[in-house]
Amino acid sequence: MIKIFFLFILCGSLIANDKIPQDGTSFDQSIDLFFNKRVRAHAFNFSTQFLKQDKQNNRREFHLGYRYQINNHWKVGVSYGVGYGLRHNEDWINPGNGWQWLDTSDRKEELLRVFAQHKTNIFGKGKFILKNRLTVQRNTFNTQDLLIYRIGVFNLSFPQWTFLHQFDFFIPLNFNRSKLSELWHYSSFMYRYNGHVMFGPTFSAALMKWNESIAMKGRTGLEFTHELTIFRLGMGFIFNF
Amino acid sequence: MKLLILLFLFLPSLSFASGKVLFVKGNVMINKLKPKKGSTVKEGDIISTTKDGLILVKFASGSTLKVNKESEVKVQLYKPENKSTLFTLIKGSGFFRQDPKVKGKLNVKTRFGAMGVRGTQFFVSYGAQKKDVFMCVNKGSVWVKDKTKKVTAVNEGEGVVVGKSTSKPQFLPWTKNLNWRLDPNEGNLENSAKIEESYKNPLRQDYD
Repeated sequence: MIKIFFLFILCGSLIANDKIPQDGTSFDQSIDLFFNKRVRAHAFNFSTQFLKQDKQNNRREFHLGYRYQINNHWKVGVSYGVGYGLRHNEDWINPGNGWQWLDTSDRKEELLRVFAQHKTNIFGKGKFILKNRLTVQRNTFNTQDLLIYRIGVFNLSFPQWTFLHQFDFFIPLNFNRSKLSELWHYSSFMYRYNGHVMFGPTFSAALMKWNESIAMKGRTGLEFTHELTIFRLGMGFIFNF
Repeated sequence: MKLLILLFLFLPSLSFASGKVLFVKGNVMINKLKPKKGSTVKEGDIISTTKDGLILVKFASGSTLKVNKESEVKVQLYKPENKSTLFTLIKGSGFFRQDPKVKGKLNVKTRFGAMGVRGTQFFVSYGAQKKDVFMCVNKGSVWVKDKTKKVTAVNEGEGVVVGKSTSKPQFLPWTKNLNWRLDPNEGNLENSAKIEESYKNPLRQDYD
């Protein structure tokens, strides 16, 4: 009797596991391009990112932005972007042949962002700069709102190189049970080719989290937190006009 | 014979009384006359260059001056006996060096303020709109006195913008890209680094 009871428990957990995406590690690659034109206190920029993702759909994003330099330390900005290949809780679906992630490679989503940023010299009279940026993002596709807090340090000790290390905290405002939906560490080593062009390798490590969708919870009563650890190698290019 | 001896005694001091052109290239004038290598430069002389001009002058006071293209510098004061030199940067930009082994004084005057130095090397340039002056230090330390009479010390690797007042000295890594050479034997003397680049405040630079 006890054996039959444990068999039921085992079968139940196996069935439940089929409904939950497996945690894992993903090794990805990226190319980031950032074009920037500054006219006194105003800056206009276009950025694009191409991601080859091991455990998610390949992703591409394009953003058009405007920034205003209030003074040496404070800057504000807005941007409009489109993204393809993003993944959300609602993309974990069962079309009839089992639970799986929806292929969103060609699905267009619009991202509206507004941010405020503060930069200051922390020591070395400008050799080390601390950056804090708070961004609010609205995804018009699914009306998900995100708060992104970025903190980073720039090392400008070397005339031809800029070293950047920063952390991004993605705080979902109206989705996810997890307090953070993403946590990123990002490093880049930019070579200053000339006054207009910088490029260099980038390295990121991240933890991304998804929860069950409202529809899934309604159908199955299941709750989960799916985590994906990401290691990403890439190249960044910055063009200033 | 006595006359000859006197002349011998005089000649060295005559050469001390003026600076000497070590290198000249392109369109350069000293008081509307074209100089050549070995030409002398005296107190009151105005050195001017056009689009492709470059000139390097060394003074017995231990001061060396490199005048860049499209620039004008006046030798305002030259006192070899005190080893002191005062230049006025009238327009454009120049590199200035005071030999630390020669205990002399080098001052540079601009429309927005004066700079003084002992034993160091620095660069001064008018801004594109001529509303201010940019100064950065390669070696040593420079004091800057602006029109408000405030004195600011600028150290090695730092730069300031001098306009109505002087900005806070800031570490500017890309000033290392300026051509600081003041010896023709070391190679090309021409500065191709954009001055506007050196102006850039790293706090305003966007990387993402």
